[in-house]
Amino acid sequence: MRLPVCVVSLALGACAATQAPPPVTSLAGRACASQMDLSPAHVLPAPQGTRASTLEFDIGADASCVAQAGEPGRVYVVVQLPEMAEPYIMDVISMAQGEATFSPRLRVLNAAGHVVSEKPRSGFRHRGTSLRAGMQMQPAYRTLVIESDTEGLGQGTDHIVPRTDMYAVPVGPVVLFTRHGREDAVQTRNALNGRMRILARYFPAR
Amino acid sequence: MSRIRNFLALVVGLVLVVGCAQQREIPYDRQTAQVRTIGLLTPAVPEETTLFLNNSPGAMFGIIGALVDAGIQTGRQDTFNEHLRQQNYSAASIFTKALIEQLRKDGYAVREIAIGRTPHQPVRTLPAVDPADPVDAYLDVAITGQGYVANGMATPYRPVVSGRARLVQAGTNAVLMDVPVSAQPEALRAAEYPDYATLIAQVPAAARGLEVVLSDAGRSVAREMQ
Repeated sequence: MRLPVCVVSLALGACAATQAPPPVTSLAGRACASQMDLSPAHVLPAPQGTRASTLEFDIGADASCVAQAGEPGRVYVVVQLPEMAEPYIMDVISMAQGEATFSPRLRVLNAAGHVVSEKPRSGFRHRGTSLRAGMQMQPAYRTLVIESDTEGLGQGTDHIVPRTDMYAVPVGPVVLFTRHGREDAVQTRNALNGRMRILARYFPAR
Repeated sequence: MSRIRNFLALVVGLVLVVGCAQQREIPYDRQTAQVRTIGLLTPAVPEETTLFLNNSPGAMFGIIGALVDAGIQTGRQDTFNEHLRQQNYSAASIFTKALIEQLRKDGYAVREIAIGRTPHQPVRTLPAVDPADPVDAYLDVAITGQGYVANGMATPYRPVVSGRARLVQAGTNAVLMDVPVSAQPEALRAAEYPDYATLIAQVPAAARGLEVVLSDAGRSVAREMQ
C-alpha cells in the first residue's frame, strides 16, 4: 500500500522541483541599502590541478539590493575569490532558471576594495540559453561583485534548442533504433533573479 | 566518394567544435595584453557551404543507408553551392569585413596579412614580425563550418557558423585569447526554411540569412576583445 503513495509523492516532488520562479524585473516595494555590503555571501574555491572549481547559487528576488541617489536599484551578490599564487581564468555563467536569466555585470576588487577589473553586460555572450563571460584573474584580485544590469530588464531572447530522441522499433525478431530530431523554442528574459555558476581554472597548457 | 568524404568532414567540423571549446578557452584581457595593432591572418573559411539534414531517416538503415543518404545530401549541398556561386556569395569576405569593421570601431589598428593555410586548422607557424610594419598580435580565425542545418525531417533548415579564434602575441607567441566563434540567438533566427525544396527555391534570401550569421560571428570575435 505504501509504494503507490511513495510513487505519487516522488512524482509530485519532481513536479515541484521543476517549478522555476518567474522572472523578477522590478525592485518596486523593496527597501534597498544606499551602500553595498561587501561581506562575501559565497566563496569560490581554488581549482585543483586541471580540474576547475565550481560555485553555483541562485539569486532570488530577496537578494541584497543597493540603490544609490538618482540611480535605479540593483541586486548584487558578493563572492570571495580564491587565494592563488598565479593568474587563473574565471568563467561566469548566468543560467536560465525557467524563463529568468539574471542579467549580470561584474566588478572585481583588490584587497583594498578598489575596482581592478570590470565586465559589462555587453561582455556576456549567449551560449545556448545561458549567458557567459570569461575573465583573466590575477592573484591580487580578492572579491567579485555580481550586480544586476538595469538596462534591458524584462527584455526577452528567443532560443532554438535542438533535441534528439531515440526510439526502439521492433521489426519482427530485430529491434531497430531510430533517431528523431526536433527543436524546442525557449524564451528567456533578462531578470533580477536566476542561477549563477562560477568556475575557476588554471590557464590551459601552452 | 571524395565529395562525400569532404561533406562529412564539413559536417563533423560544424558539429564537434562546440563540444571541445570549453577546455581550451582563454578570455581576452585588454588591460594586460596592451594590443593596439592587430595582424589579421587571412581567416580560414571553408569554400563549400554546408547543407545538412541531421537525424536523417535514410542514415538509420545501416552502412548502405548511410552512404545513400550521404550521397543525396552531398548532391543537395553541391546544388546549393552552385546557386550560391551565381549570387557571388563569399563567406570569407562577409566574415572578414564584419570582423575588421568591428575591430576598428573598438579602437584597434588592423593590418591584413595574406597567408596560405590548411582549412579548418589554426595556423601552425606564425609569420615573423616585420620590423618595418610591426603588429602587437596576430589574430588567427579558423571557421570550421558555415551553412544551413536542420535537426530533423520536421524541423527547418537554419543558418549556423562555428570555428575558433586565437590572438597570439607577436614575437613571444603567447596565446592572449582562444575562444569559439559562433553567432548569437537573434542572428541564428535570421532565416529558416521548412525543407530543402523551399530553401533551394529562395537562394538569394538564404544567402542573406548566411550573411547575417557570418557578420554576427565576425563582430562576436571582435567583441571578445573589447
